[in-house]
Amino acid sequence: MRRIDLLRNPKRLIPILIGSVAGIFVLIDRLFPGIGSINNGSQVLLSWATVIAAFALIAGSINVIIHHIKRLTSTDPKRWYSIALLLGVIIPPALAVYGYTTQGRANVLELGLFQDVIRWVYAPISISLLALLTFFALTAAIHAFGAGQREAVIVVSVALVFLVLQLPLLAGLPYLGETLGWIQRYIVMAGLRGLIFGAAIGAIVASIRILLGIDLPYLDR
Amino acid sequence: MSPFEILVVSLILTLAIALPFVYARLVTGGRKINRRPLPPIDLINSALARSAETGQPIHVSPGSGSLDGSTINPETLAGLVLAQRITDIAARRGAGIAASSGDPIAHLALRGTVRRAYRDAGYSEDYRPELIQLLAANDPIAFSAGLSNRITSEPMEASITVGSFEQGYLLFAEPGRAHNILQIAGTTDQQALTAALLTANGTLLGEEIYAAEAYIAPTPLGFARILTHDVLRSVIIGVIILGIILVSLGQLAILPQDFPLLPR
Repeated sequence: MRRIDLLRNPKRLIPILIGSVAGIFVLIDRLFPGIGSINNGSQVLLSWATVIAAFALIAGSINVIIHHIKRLTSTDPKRWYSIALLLGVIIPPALAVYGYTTQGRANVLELGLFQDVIRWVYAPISISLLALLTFFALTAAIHAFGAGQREAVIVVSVALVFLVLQLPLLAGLPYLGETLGWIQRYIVMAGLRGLIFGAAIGAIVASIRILLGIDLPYLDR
Repeated sequence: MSPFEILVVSLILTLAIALPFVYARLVTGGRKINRRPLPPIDLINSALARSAETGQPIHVSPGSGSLDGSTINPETLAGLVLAQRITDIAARRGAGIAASSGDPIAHLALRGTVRRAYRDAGYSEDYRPELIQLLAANDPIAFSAGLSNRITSEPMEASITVGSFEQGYLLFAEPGRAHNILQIAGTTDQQALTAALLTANGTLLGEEIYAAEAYIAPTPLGFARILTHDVLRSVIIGVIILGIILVSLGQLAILPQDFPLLPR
């Protein structure tokens, strides 16, 4: 039934065909990079994607700017946040234009003024947010332990044991360092690799379903 | 790539393409599938039922992973597919959907998914685009901070965060727990998983995020996907054992060093 719907509806069929063919082409290139013609075709497709993404970025930025200018003129009590957002959208491109016209630098990341904005505005905000994680982790652990959730109790207990065993006071105990190292190298690593293998298999199957057009989470028609 | 690697990649890809169709046919033909229970899925189903009664939306998010060019994040794709299934059910039952993403392409996909779900269910007027929000662009910490604000300031029946989440997960999950919001999490990132186990009411671990959609909306192809996972896992275990044997034989000089199946 769905297959017939797709064939009758070119608005759905054409994007699926373009997406599937391009995706399979690039996949083959990644798996077998030695084939020259496929490699060239794949590079062309990827460069098209970059150009489309660049135009989408411009269109999206204009849309965001218009939306937030309209919001500033509204009666929304949170409208003042739009000023911060507008500054964030406008300042980097403005700096890039300034850097290009005055210093001839096309890469905004090399511009001293931009690096100052990152160093004095962005980095402190990010670091303070990350610092909050310490307190959140502590309250989450205390609450989960108190609530007696089975998995949480195991996680917190193992974390506590490992923290205590790595204290400098206990560093002199014989075989402790070797035992901890062995647990991390073999037991922890085995668990992590199992997680990665499982996730990778899931990713392969999910990607193939999307490449073949079975799942269409990207389609808006 | 060495012949061994080409052999393994070809085998896995062939099986990954062919097996879902084979199993889908078997399931359609009446083959019974025994699935192990996934408790977080029951939580999602009960939240969907409550949302239709209370009118408070279910919040879904595929995380902040990128879907841009060569950096496509498969966890974000899994989150989008799960969001699609949840949205379809929510729209049919009259429940609301709010969504957050941290990638512009994922945001557009979410908007399309939610709009299509309400239109297909015949309730186009219930679609509220202002509830589908792009919180950041490929910045996990900014995304988590934005989501934290959303979770603590907007009423929601449950928050389903399955997809690409990193160390900033706690920034929104802990405030969500403090506000007594039912949270279902799922990711493959070890740091986020640890945080999820401490804060969420239900957690999908690793590969379970790829299987969840088949539990939410059981279809022959969904079941076939779970069975394909199992077969591929067995194949990879077999390949690992074969690799160990081959490398050992090579090191013991029983096999010549230029043996074509030896990994380089």
